[in-house]
Amino acid sequence: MTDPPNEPDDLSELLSPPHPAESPGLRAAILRRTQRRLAFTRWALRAAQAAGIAAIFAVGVVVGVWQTPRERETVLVPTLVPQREVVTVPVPVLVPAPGPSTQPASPTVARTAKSLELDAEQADDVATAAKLYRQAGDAYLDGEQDYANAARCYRLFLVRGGAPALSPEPSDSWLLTSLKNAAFKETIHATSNNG
Amino acid sequence: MSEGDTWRERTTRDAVLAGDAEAWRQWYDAHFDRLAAYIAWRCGGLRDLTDDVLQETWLVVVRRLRSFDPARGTFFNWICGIASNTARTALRARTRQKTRTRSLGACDDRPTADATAAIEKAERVAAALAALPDHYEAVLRAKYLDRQSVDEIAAARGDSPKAIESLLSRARQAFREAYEKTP
Repeated sequence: MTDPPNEPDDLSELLSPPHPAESPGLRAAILRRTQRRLAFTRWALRAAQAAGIAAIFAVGVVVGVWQTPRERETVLVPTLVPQREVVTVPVPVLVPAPGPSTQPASPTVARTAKSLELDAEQADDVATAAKLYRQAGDAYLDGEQDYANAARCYRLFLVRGGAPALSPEPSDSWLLTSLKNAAFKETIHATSNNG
Repeated sequence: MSEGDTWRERTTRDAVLAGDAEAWRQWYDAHFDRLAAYIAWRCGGLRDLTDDVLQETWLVVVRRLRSFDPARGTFFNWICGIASNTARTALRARTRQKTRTRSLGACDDRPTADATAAIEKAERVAAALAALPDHYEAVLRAKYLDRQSVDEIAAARGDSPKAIESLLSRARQAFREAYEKTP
């Protein structure tokens, strides 16, 4: 034992513990303040967690809304396919084709459907006009997928071409085949009513 | 600190953070008197300064409770560290305020009364303790506040009595110098 616990030295007067003199009510007041502070800290923590979750949810909603239109555009594409399949059901009607054999379609790669239609309108010869209307119909159908104008040109071809034009040919498109069938049925029906 | 004490303090801390008001009240009551005595010693017995530092210390403890790690030390040592920093800050603020007051009322100096002399002496003690390095302050606290013998201090710190005597001697000398330098 080199240094007894309470042996006074020159610093004892300065460093000895002061007499305890606690302010009245200080202990309880500090306890109340610390308890309030703890409660506030817990509340703030929970609020921050709730805000974080809400922010994540909001970001998810925004991203979802943002992405929705693109998904609709992609869904619309396949709905066109069944329409084409429904329309292209052929009705086989065998009618022997009298007269000259079908001529191969002239190449119209360089000419547009509108220019062909214009030539057909201006043609003096009916047969030439019919031929050009058919080429214009093919060009509208294959080149531009313009079904309305293609059907219009095909009908003009059938009007100009007369009865020989109604006979089916291997080079006929699905739309022309359908129009020929319809025109043939109308002809049959008109004949039977008159007879 | 034993493993059981560490576990107990960690459990108490978790309970307090989870909202257990009774756990906090017991923890607070268990350490209040000891902490108040330490702060009073650090403040040289100045009652107003002690009250301010005591209150601020407990508020900081509550604010930083989540960062208390029982594996690194006891709860009391942790709050003593906070109290030490708080005391230094409060003392600096008090010194600044006192300097401003003196400069404004320089012409109105009166003879120093006994009470004023006691306050100034207490302020010098507090300032000298605040100026000491932590290991000097700790050994002086063990010697003068906790009334421990050199052997007890040596056993608590895991040092030899000779090393503690040497440390005490240097701490006393540092305190004297700091006390003399304090205006």
